[in-house]
Amino acid sequence: MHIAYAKTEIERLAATGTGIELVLDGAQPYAWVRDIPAPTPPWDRATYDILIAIPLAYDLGTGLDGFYIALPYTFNGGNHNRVNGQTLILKDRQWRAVSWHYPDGKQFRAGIDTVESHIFHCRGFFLARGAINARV
Amino acid sequence: MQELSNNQRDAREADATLEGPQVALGSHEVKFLVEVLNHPDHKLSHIHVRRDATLLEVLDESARNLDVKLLPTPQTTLDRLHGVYEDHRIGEPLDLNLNVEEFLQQEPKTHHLAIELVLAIEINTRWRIAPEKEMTPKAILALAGLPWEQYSLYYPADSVDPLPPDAPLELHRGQRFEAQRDGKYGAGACDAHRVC
Amino acid sequence: MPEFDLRIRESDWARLRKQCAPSFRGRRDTELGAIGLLGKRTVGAKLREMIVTQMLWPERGEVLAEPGMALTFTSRYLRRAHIAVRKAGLAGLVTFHTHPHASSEVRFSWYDDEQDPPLVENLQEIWPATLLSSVVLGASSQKGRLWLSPKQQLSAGRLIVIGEGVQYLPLDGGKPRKAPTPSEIFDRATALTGSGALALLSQMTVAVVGASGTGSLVCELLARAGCRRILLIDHDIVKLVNLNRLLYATRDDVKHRRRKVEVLKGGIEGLGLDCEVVPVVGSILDNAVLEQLNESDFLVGCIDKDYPRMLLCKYAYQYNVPYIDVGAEIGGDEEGIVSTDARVNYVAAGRWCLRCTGLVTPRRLAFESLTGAERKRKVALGYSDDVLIKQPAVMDLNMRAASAGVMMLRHLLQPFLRSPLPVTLAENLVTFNMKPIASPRNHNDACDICQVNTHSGFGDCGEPIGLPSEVAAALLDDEE
Repeated sequence: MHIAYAKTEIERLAATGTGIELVLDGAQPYAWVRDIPAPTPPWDRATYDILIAIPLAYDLGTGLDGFYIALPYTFNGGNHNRVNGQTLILKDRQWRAVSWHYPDGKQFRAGIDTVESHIFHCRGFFLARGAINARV
Repeated sequence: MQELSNNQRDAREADATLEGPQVALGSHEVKFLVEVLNHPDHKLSHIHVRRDATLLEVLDESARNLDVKLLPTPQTTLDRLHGVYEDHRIGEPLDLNLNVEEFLQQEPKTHHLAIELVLAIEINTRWRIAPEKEMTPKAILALAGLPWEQYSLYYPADSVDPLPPDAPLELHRGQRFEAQRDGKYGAGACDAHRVC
Repeated sequence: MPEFDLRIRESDWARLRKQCAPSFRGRRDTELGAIGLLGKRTVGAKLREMIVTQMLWPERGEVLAEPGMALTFTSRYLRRAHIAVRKAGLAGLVTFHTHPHASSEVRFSWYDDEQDPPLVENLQEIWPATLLSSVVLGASSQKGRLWLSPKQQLSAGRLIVIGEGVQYLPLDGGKPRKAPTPSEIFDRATALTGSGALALLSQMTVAVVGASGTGSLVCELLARAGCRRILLIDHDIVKLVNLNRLLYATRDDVKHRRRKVEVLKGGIEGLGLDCEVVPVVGSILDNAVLEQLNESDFLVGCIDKDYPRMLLCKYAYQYNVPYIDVGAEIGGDEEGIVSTDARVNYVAAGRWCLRCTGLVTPRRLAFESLTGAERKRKVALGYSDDVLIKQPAVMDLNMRAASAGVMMLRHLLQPFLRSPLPVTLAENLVTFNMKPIASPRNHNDACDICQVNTHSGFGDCGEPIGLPSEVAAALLDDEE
């Protein structure tokens, strides 16, 4: 079964209380993660939903990279410079790609990193590192 | 509503003649009081079965009513059905191939039945009734028709340590054992081994 | 008439032979043996091969062997194997035992014949799907059979040993037969490998995945090397841009939107070398296409994408089938071209997969396995430039890769290159340098494809390797 590892990881997270589900846009799977905490200010709300694209070859040792943020949002009353990607509509919501990548030399390590650790990496965007790097 | 054709009307009248008046339709069914022998809950229940039902079907219906599981399956059960007579005397196991009508013609008559849940155990796919509550693996193998010299008995099902052949075991209903034989090979046992 | 073949890893076969070697020394009076677990490989409903997924070496006391006595695999040992088979959903188990006095010929004894049926009956009574294979070993021969039931057995044809080489050993109890003399067309090739390799190649079905520049060249070379059946897999049609490298393709094929596999079938079969090309139109990402690899004895990957390469790797380990990946890469910097690599990788049991080798990168694999819309959004973020580089499509370079690949295939059938083969063999024409890369760049001792693959040798008993047809089709549509 393709993306069996991702399904297992997502089910395990859901079973332990994380608001997460696997959703499909045609053949493309995504992990929809609810209620990622964010400090207000600078963010306009205390939690955000995010969407993480799961490559179909996830089980073969690919990494995860970047995420989408559910729209609308404001950061310091305006836009965040890294929320600069294209949009997608999925499950009646609009999402925008966020340019939030692993630093060189600290890439996602297949077999060690997981959907959970990637969510943790994505949370960093809403906290100090993402906010400091932002140009308003 | 459609009107009945002449043929249909004739057929219905013929059926009514055979069955007698409408009020007698209930005589197709028979009511039994059923129970499970030696069951801690000592539950009793009433069931309604057709006169042409076999006693195997009666046993199945009784088991479902009393919420007990027949082993190994309701269709191939080793469990037994008994008649219960005056003074709560339990009769011999009934022939499950009989139908209710035939059973009710036998003397003494009763509408009270009891299920006997036997000590059924499984060895590989062979279900047997254990004659004793405690048996040695040797005796269990013999019960299944497997020579103990060639087979070892294992319990539980994923165990790889054979049970000591002479140590008695307390058995419980539905217990599943696995009997595994050794694998023997070779030219050494062959008289003409030099050509093998 | 042999009815199935048995596949085994070279390391398992070597260890089994080593452990059984004392049977054939000294007084030659002690029988030895061991049990293996079996996966299977079917074509349609027909069983083609059994695969030794794992040897379950006996623990102390699990095999009783006394001089002059029959060998006993204790019920505990059999049970350990049988429980492993049942838990993993495998096809069955195989017992190996020796007949110490048998040398170049061996057969089952009457005792073996008497004991196997009740054993398979017993195993099937516990787990009805169990198949039992037994193999008797002589000093330099072996004979095998497969019990489908206590009354029905299949005779074994060959033992296929996969590792640093590819060996086909007879499982009929006889001596290896002398290879037939090759026909006049091919006899010049005997200078390289002898007639044995030629005979083997003529009996094999080689799956060539990818029918473009390199794939068409590999097909041509295989046909001229004496291969008589090629399973050619590609989904694409001939386009104008293919005419610089695709053998036998013409402008007329472009005009009529002919499939690459059909064009090559016509070209190769037209050579008159008795080589049949079986065209498979589809993507190797698709499970329905991957299933068709079960007809093959050897895989040659001629694709420039990482995702299908990794699926072929997975297949190679799950089915214990040898896989040669060929390709070409041009490297450059501001100064200009610094390398033109014609590259060959050999993937098989006991060797590194293409991910560990460093050829397949997680980034490219991830990128390729996103649907088209998602890929476009990634590209728009500007973070994927490196994964968009097109592989070179230069026939002269492809030709060097195809040539090295087929040479390596010949070597595996009858060695003439230095062993063990390097992880990657790359020829850089810019520096006039042949580079044998001995160690993998991204090796991972816990790699679940090549090192600790829990489905290694499972064959059809493992999970499907690729994608459901509709998902594969969606990925493919996006590409086009």
